[in-house]
Amino acid sequence: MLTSSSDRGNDEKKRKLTDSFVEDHGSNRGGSSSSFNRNGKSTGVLEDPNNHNNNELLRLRKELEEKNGRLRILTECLVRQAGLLQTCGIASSLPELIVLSPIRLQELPDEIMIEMFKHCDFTTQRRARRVSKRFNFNLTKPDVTSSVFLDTESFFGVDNNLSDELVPDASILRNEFEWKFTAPAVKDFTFNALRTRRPKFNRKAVCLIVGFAQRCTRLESLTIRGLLLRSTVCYTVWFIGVPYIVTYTASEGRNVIASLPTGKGHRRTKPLVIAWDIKNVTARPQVEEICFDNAYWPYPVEQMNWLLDCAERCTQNEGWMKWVQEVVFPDKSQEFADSLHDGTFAAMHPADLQKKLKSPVLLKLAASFVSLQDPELPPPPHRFAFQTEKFYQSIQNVMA
Amino acid sequence: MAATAGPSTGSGDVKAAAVAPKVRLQSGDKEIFIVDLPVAKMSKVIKGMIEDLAGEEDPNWDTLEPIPLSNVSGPILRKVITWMEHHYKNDGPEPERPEDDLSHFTDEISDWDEEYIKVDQGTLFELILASNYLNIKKLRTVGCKTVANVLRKLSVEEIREKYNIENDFTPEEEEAIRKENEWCEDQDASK
Repeated sequence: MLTSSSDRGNDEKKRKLTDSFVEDHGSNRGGSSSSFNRNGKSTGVLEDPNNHNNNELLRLRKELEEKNGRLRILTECLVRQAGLLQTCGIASSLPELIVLSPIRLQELPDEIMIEMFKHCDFTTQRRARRVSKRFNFNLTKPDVTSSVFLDTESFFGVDNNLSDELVPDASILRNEFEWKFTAPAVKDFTFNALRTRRPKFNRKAVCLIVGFAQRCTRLESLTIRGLLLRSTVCYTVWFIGVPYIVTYTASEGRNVIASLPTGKGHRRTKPLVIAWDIKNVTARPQVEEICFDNAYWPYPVEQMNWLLDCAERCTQNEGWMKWVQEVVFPDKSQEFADSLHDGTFAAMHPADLQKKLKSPVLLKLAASFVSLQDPELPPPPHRFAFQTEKFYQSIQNVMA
Repeated sequence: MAATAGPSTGSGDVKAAAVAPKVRLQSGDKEIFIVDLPVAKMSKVIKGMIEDLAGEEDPNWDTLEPIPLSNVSGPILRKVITWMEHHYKNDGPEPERPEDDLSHFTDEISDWDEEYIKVDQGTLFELILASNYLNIKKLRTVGCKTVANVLRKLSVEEIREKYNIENDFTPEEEEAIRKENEWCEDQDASK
């Protein structure tokens, strides 16, 4: 058991006993003599200029070191036995034993300390930097900072939950977290709800995830553990000012797709967006259809170029143009048709297109391109998450 | 002194019921432990040593020299063997995980491990060092996670006090770090 406050008094007594024991025998915990330092170089008495009997000195030194060595082994043996007896819970019935902590935290090698810190949540890692220089040194190593995790316990204590009742409005919660920091070193972020009571994937969880992820400007992967999703709900998660939809996944989202383009001449106050594909999707058959209203276009520039290229090629397809006018742009059909015909649509910069057309529209267009048989179009650079047979069929039905 | 640390053979214990060859492990303080071969092989270091000692042919395990584990004391080795025996008997095969899998950082410690690791600070650190030396990743993880769980419940000052760590920052340095992480300074057990 780790030292409790009630044990501290006993430990102090034991330490005093040990100190007096060690002093009486001219030794210390490191096993070196009080007259010699750790490197074996002589100090104090042995450097007395009046003493010229080197052979005698060497003999005495050797003898002393042997005694110290034996004493150290004896002490360590006692310490271990006492420690084990304590572990077994029978130490209290024995006479006072000499108990030393054989190894202390700061005596552990860096590799072990780093592994310990990796098991700390992000807030603990940040807080513990102030403990000492060595803590700070190890806690700022990439091994520690690149993959981090958070859980609700980090913010709400042990008795935590993620119930919607507590926070009716996500924006309120978002404002509550005044996290004035950035974490550019973080590449993998895990939101861990395994220790959470009522771990629903709801507004509160989303706000925690988003609030943190927004500060990880170079985030590459997100893992969500232990959150329960209601089967028919789509959640839109905003990362770095742009939303990414998380739908029907029970556990984790991973795999970086890439960053979105920066528009020419655009004023960008936010860093590039990094989006995620969903891994291990556990979609239920009855909810496979994509919910366009909540969808987001999380794809990089090459995906947008592919979209523009496909749009240009499809202008001669009357069926597709009709579908676009009826389904995609019922209010702006002529304007859109004109832009397609005069080439201004295809000539648009991907970022401008992104700005002009909303994500659901882009996704609808993309869905139509992957469903078209004629003309034959190149496959998209990145797989779309909505590629299901059921969805293809629905697009085909509209076009037919 | 020779100590047998072999697993008990319960009726439902299929793994333990099989007659396994035994190897002798020698701690740094010359204590000998007799352990089932598959249990001992849970340590990658011991496994490597066994393969080196045994060679390619099936050796006579009774006459094989004890495997020296000079960096681990007898009491600690005994505890490590207890852990290996329990997990050998009770754990299923290790699930295959992708290389970049990070779930072990957020996995919970099992109830048995939680009880097992309830030892004093020094023993805990010795167990971590021993598991590191013997290359038993799961045991090392249990130890490190235990320390991490303690750290997260303590404030900076409490960590210093508990682990007897000297604050070697200058006041200016400490203030700079404190200011940088002001947002999480009160995110501790008191919250």
